Amino acid sequence: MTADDRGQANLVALAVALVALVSATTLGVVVADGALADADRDPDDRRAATTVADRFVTAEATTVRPNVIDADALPSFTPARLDALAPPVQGHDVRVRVGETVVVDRGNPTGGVTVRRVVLVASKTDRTREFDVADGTEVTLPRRSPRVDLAFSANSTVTTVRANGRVVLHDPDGLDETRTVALSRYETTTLAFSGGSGAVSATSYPRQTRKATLEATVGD
Amino acid sequence: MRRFDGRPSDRLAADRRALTPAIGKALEVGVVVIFVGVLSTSLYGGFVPEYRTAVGDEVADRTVVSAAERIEAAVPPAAREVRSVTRVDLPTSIRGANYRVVVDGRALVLEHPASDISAQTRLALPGRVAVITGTWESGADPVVLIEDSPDGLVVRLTDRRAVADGLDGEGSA
Amino acid sequence: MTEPPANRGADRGQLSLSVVEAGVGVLFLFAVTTTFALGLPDAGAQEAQLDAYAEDTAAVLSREPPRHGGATRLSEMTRSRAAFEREHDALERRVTRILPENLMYRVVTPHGAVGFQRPTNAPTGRTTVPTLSGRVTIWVWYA
Repeated sequence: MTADDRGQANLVALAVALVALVSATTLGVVVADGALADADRDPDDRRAATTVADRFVTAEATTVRPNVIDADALPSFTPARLDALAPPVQGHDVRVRVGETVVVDRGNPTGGVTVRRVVLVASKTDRTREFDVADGTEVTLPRRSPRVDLAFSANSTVTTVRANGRVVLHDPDGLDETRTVALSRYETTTLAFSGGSGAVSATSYPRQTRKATLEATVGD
Repeated sequence: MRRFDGRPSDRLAADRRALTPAIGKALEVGVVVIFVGVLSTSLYGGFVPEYRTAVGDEVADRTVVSAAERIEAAVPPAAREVRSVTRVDLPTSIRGANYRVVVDGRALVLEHPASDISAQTRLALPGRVAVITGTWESGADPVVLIEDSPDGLVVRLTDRRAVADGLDGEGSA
Repeated sequence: MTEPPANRGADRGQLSLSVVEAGVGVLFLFAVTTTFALGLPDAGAQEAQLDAYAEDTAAVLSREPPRHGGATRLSEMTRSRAAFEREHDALERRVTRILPENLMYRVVTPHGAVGFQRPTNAPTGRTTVPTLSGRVTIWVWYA
């Protein structure tokens, strides 16, 4: 019988088999380590980034209305204000960017979670036009504006001003000085002057909007 | 007598074999048993508890973030009289142990018996919310109870049975 | 002289059983390793981001002043079939301008749809806006 030969070869084969098993186990442990590191979803950073983006886009302090960011509120934004606006981001590195400009920066959050939102950025401009009005003159403001400041000359005798048919200013003694009229945001406004004549300087504040992407990156 | 089959074993005398098959097998069994023992010890003693703790830490992170989001979503819009009870889903145990979720100021903290597992996150609640209190024990039915108070809204983390007991005459939900 | 039958039996089975067993063990370990090497399913992070994009688009569209009449651009478009026919080119241009370049979209209104075909195998984000004449659904996905 060759049983004794197999007995010898069996031990060697066994040793080889055990070595193979050990290396397979080690490989498995290494892969498991990698998979565990991959499975880390950073839930805290993701929550902070989502909250920052959401608050930036809806809060009163930064927006004209939801999804429209006020460009004038951006330059003075500090990390402390961001902490008050979105508490989950306290203690994290964060960077908030609107379009190309970095609005808030603290630490170095590269490699963290980024959340993006689509917003419009509204910057205030003002336009002043001067014209002479008589009874029945109509002037259309070409851009929508939340309000218009009408400055009447000292000797004007205009008694009534209508905006889109609605009476907004009325003074039987003649309007003078500067009055502010609130306007509809959804329609272009046509001002109708009646009752007299005079020189009027109208200052309107149209908002210029441009599209931008808001990026909030939060790291550890 | 001579044999003609030429098998090498026949050329060896009986006492020249290195091991008998029985002892060979016994050695094999012994080696395998030792190997299995050493491997099990090293795995269960070193790697496995470490991995379980790492996974427990990750689950704790996700749990606390999900709980915080549910609490924030449970705050109702501004109204005159508010009382709302919202159910929240929490895992029954983390790393095989029961844990607690407590409130620390304006932050939600997960406390776990294993010292390596902990998680916390700050809550982002509107200014109407005056106070957040309460604790959640894992394994019970966690709910968020929001009520009005003279100072504002009070957010309380409690159990569904505690809320049901407080509803006089309405029975348990 | 016939050879003993055990002679032929000695040529079989030289493969040691230990090696076979070890082979099976190694294969088993590889199978276990593969289950966690192939990775876990991705969370809804992409879908959440796409949902946010869709909601932002809906918010911007529903607050925009209309081109002709109606309260907002969206309600103007959904008023009637004729209004939809007239406005849908402008809507397409507007949505293309609003969204970042790597996104594709589909806007479904009660009178028709604008945009690309929805993919079946990619994560998509959606949002629904109620208007007077029905619901407008916006789908967004990565190109």
